[in-house]
Amino acid sequence: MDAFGPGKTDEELWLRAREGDGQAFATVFDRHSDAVFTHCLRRGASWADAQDQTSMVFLETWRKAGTLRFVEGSARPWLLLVATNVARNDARSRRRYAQAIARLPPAESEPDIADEAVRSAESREATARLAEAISSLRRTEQDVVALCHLGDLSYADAAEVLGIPVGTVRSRLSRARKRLLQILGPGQVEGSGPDDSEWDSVAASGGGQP
Amino acid sequence: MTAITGFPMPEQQLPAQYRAALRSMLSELVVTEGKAVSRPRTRPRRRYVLASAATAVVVGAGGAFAYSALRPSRPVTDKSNARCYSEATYRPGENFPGTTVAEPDSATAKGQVGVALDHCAALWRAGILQPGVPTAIHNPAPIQYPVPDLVACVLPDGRAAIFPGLAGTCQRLGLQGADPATPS
Repeated sequence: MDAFGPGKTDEELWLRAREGDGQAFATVFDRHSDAVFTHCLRRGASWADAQDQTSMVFLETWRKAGTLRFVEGSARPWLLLVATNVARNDARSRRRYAQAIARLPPAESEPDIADEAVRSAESREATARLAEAISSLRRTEQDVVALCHLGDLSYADAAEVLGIPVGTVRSRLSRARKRLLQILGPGQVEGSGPDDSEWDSVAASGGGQP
Repeated sequence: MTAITGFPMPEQQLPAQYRAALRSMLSELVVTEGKAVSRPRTRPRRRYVLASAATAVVVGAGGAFAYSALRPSRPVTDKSNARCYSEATYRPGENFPGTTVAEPDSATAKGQVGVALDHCAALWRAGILQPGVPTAIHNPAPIQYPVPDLVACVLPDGRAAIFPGLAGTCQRLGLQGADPATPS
């Protein structure tokens, strides 16, 4: 699937893409499109909307090709950050890329392979509840929550892609956790790490209800 | 590093058809715009790009042999049919993303590659060919679909192959461009 092999970093491929190498861009797409798609779903998008948002993430990334920031050669942190912004500004992004999206086949409204976690109404509800709660946070807090918890990035990687110190990532996450505790209740946000500012689990499945 | 254990949404896969179409569209965009970045946009964009016209070179008499061996374009020699590709990828063999046009005296009629380009453009316009969709679509919506930039290449067996792309696509795919007018 990876035409250039694992030896080429995204950053190297990106340089080739900017010279007009479509295969290089396609390889970056292959590496990260599922992660971007999943990120959009975790942000509360429907199955169909998450497909459109994935398109918009890559189109937006290409449009602002010169601003892309790599973390140890990887484009994934940046793509997830763009995905967070696209999800936040869905309507505006759709207007901007309406013509391109129209060229694509209609987004499927349901998973083509049934997945229990996706099909479960309880699970969907929990995802939507968490996404809504995250949307109520300050923008800066949304970014760190989306990157570190929904995107599984390390604090260091999130800090680098956001251009802020690691300590700021921690403090924003700490504030965000307190806010989410207020919104969702203690059964949905659990801190079990040695540092209370870290989460080890967000029991958003509904099963964590008291 | 934090992890969300028990998070209800494990990693999902982008649906295959959507993925293929998006991948193809992005690749084409990059080929088009990436090239544009590296050269000044002084000429109007053309719907069809004939690779040979874009890469014409002046060769002295002494260099004629070398030119014939290395030139970036060559004539279409098998005019029985032509291939219309739905994405700018090429692998040797019978399977390819797209469809074949084969009508007597039309696909490459009178050796005019432009006719094959017209046929493939018509398939795109009708939605029978769509970006990255590997086969012809038999019942597209009754609307006019966008036609990408098309470029004519020559397959190793001498048939014309029309790809979405610009000048340089044939070379990138390891093929030669098609001479715009192939003698009968």
